[in-house]
Amino acid sequence: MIWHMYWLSAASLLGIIACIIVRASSDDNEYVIPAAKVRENEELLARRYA
Amino acid sequence: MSQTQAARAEADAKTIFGFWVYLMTDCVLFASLFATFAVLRSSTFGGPSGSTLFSLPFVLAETLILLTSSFTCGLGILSARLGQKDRVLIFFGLTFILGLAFLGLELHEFSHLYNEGNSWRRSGFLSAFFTLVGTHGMHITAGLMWMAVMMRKVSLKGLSESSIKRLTMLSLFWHFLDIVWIFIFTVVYLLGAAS
Repeated sequence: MIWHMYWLSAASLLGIIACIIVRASSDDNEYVIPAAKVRENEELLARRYA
Repeated sequence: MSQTQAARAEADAKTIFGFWVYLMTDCVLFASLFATFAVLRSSTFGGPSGSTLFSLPFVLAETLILLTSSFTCGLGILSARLGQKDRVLIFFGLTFILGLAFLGLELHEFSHLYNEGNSWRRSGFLSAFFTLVGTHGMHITAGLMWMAVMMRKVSLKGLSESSIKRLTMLSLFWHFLDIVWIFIFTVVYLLGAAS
């Protein structure tokens, strides 16, 4: 807006909307870490810094 | 239920709760805009006030269209829970058309005001009016885009669980906008025409 590049702000707004739609349409955005894996990691850390 | 499914259900419940929190922050936004409007409503700076500008039959038509769209949205979400894909598309399609009609009427009103020289630059009252009603209109626009994306998703991929979750949030959003509009109708138009 400072440089009065309104074509850029219009293009950016469209880009933002497109990114939000793509990101919000994705179902693959989280996963479960099994308790066994957490225990393994924690014990590894405990051994390393004990 | 397996561990993954249980985690899934818990995550979904959190998502819906998060959406409620968002709606409440939106409520705060509208509350401040309403407060601004209430303070500025008589600051017409020698210009026209609400009673000369607003046509109540026109606004009543807008209100009825939006209320009907909320009704069809409710029918749509009911069909989604029953897994009736075709009905979901029909009812959300109707909601979309009604929302678009509402937006068209609102833009018509705005351009009419603007062309008559009663833009947001005219007075504090009109600045507050355009900010409040325009913010509502922006929300409606966003809701329509969301609805279009969801209808495309449902028609291509069917009614998945994640789609039903998203449709639930969309309907929450749409009903919320309807409630906000009821307040705009009362505070801006009815009280404006009465004073």
